[in-house]
Amino acid sequence: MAVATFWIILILVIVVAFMVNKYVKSASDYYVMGKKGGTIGITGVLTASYLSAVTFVGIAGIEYLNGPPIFLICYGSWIGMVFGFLYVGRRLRAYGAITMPDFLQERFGTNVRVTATIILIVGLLGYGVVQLMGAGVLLSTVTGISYNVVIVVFAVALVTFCAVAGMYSVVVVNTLLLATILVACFIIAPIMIKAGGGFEGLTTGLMNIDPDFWSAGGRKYHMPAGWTVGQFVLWALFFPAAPWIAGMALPCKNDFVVMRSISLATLFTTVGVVILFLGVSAMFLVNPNINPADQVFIWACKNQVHPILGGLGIAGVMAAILSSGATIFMGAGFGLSRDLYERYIMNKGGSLTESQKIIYARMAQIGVGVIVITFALSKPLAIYWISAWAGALFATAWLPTLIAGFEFKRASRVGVIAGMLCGAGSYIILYQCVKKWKLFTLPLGLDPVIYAIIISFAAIWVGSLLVKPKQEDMATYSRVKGIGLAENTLQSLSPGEMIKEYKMTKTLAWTSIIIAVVVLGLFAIRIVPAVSAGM
Amino acid sequence: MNMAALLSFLHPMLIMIICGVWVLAILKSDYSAVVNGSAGHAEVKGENK
Repeated sequence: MAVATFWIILILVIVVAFMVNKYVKSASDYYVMGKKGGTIGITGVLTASYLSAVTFVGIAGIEYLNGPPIFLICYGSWIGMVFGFLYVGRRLRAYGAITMPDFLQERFGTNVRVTATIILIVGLLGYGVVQLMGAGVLLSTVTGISYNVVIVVFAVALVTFCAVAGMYSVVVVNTLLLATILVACFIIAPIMIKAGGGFEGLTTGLMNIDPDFWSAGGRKYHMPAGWTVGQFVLWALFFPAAPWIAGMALPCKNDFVVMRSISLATLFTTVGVVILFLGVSAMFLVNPNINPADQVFIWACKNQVHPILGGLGIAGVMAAILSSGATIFMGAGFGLSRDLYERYIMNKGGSLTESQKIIYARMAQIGVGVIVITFALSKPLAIYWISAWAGALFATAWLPTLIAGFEFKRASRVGVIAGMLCGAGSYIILYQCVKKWKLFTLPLGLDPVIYAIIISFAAIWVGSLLVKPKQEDMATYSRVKGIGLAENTLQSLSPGEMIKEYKMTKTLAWTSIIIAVVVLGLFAIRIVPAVSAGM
Repeated sequence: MNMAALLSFLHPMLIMIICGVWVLAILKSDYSAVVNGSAGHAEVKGENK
């Protein structure tokens, strides 16, 4: 079943990519789907990109061993996704960016854009490669196919469907894959909860084994409060600048699609992840010896549900890995082709035809694929170092830069570059000293990312005081600040269309709020008093 | 009261509320004047008919 699922998913994504290739006629089609993304497609790609191997494998294993609260409390990626879409994404769209570095080029010029793009590519590759390697180990165990074959086949499928039709295939494929992910969260996870004894099992059952199953620090890890706060802040500040989140606002057809997509994606990811984590925690009551723990969801698919449903569940895990990997590696490829190479040609006074842009974009995707396969197969020591701090690069280098670009008129080019380098550099140094070499601890036990972000903002401010901003940059700031975030949409829709979109978006926002409050409120009512009894 | 358990459900609920309220605020600030103005014109047109 697992082997069949593996091959079916991979063949499906490649076939779909070739089918949508006919819609790719220009570089805009390739990079941002010609800005034609509708609500279903963007919700699909956003939700599927958000739910990755980290959710279904790594954190699921931690939840299984520790109980629900350890990550439900500190899952800062939820607010990070909302902020990334509604604050960062809307602004990038309004300012006409096709990629995230586009905005930095417009605002601060070439040196800032190049520095940011290099950090972007390193961060994306570091974060993505280790996810792929982890996925390779998992899928190899589950399917019996050797690790090297899994890596090569997976990476070839990823590169093929990204290279063939860029954002078009990523959006369409991810939306299709989302169906299996939703089955995992909303059908299989509830079955897991029931198998563990339902609410009674989750409350009395787990509490009888160990009351710390319902503690913030977890039954096994007993993490301190400083860790919880640090994790929340890390994820909350990393996701707003993550290209596979904020960048998904760029292909949206209009502002209403942005708002509806984030409403739906937030509903799916909040309620879906809560149910998933309750489900994996319940599995401890069924089998406390699942080893390695991060295979808990796979074990449940094989042992607790009907084989067809189990196959769909495993497909959901593969879909989560594939979808996140696609948007991550696509971002790295776009960085190479558009933000480095195309810009280099433009700066030299040259130009590229639309066909040439698409060809070079595809070549960049293939180049990324080769790098990914090489790292994943050779497993150089450096990749573990890079991956440990790759994700935090977005929080410590990119986010302060974006905020300075949007809000700080007097941010200078030197200040922003200082901010990026000091943010990234200080994080790497603090991470190694505190977490790896354990030379000292930080005040309050907070994660190094918090201090690195403060250092980044401080460096932007000091650098901008020492080297004043150029007049043209301040003029650009005033110009972009004057652009209404709704302007494009207001101009592109007729009054009748505007009213229809407005009503649909408003209804969906209210509906999402009500569903989340009712469902999560019901969980709280059933669980909280039961686990509080006797305290 | 087990605060860890309470926060486990309150946290995602609050995030959805924040998202929804933010969207509603954007609709009100950026679009409601135009939409209400357009709706008003449509009603007048209907009455004239």
